[in-house]
Amino acid sequence: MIAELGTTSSHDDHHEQEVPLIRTAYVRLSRKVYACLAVAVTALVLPAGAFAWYQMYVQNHTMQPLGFQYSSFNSGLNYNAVQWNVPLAIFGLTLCDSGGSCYPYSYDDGGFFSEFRTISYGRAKCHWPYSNQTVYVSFCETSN
Amino acid sequence: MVRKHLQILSIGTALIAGASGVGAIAVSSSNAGGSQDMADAMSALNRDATSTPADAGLLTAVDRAARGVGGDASAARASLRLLRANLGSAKEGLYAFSPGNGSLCFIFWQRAASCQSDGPGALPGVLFNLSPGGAGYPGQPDDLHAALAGVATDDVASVAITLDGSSRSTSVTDNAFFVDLGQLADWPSSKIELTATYVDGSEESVTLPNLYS
Repeated sequence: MIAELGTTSSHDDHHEQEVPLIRTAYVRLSRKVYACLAVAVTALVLPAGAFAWYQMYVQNHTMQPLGFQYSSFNSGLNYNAVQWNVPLAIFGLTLCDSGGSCYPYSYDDGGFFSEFRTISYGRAKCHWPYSNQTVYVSFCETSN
Repeated sequence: MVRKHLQILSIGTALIAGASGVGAIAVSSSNAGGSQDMADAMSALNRDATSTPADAGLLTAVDRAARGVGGDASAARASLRLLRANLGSAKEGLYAFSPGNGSLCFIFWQRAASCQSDGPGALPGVLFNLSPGGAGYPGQPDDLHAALAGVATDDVASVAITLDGSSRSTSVTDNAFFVDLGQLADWPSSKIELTATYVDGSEESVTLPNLYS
């Protein structure tokens, strides 16, 4: 077995010389095994579309009073952000599942606002909560 | 509603010494208006940090916020400071930074990041996030409390939130504030008013639109 893997020593009394060769063979075998395992695990564990996904679901848009927009559905959403340009006002963000249920809104007054809630599968939503004015939204964006 | 002279102030010293990861920040400077002023007021952003934050997720959030306001991520990271640690039962942290273009940002980790990039916010000298708590926050229980958190300049003495006539106030400490609002479901309705009280005794209030009904 060891010879097949490239051992050149044939001296029984050179046991200490064989140790590195055994280790070398073992490492070579391990690397192949690990490489195969890595490929197999990657193929089995990662479903299609599991890699990072990003969508700017609103861009340069005037949102009407009480307006809102949704992103597309995707899995593992963990980022949602908005930039708007009305001073003295707040903006809302949330995530919604495929059944239409949403987390309560998180609100912010900065002009740029992102939040870090997650949802296993769903879509992002940005919402302008004022009933008496429009707002110019530079973008709403989400990713997983 | 809008303070005539948006004084953004002189924030003396302060800020923390704090705990985990990043150095202290003090806010100071003088006067007037919008995002540039608030960023200018954060003079301690230029102080040397005592250490570097290790949380990769936090740094990613900083980078994203910097890009979101057209700022520079490396400048944002370099200015990142911990203002308050161990806030509320969830032991959350509140950080501030400037992405180098005059914007002032804070992160209420791990709930939200906010930047003032274009004119004043709803209250002069105050930048806030109203987080509903509940499910969905990384590493937090599904009954995470709602919270009001944010940063304020030195001339802001306290911030209060009034829910249906019931007011909860907190002093501004280390240029940051945090109010634990309990469970969102416990709120009798959603009429919300925020009030900032300034060191000169004046007050500014803003009534938020109907948010949770």
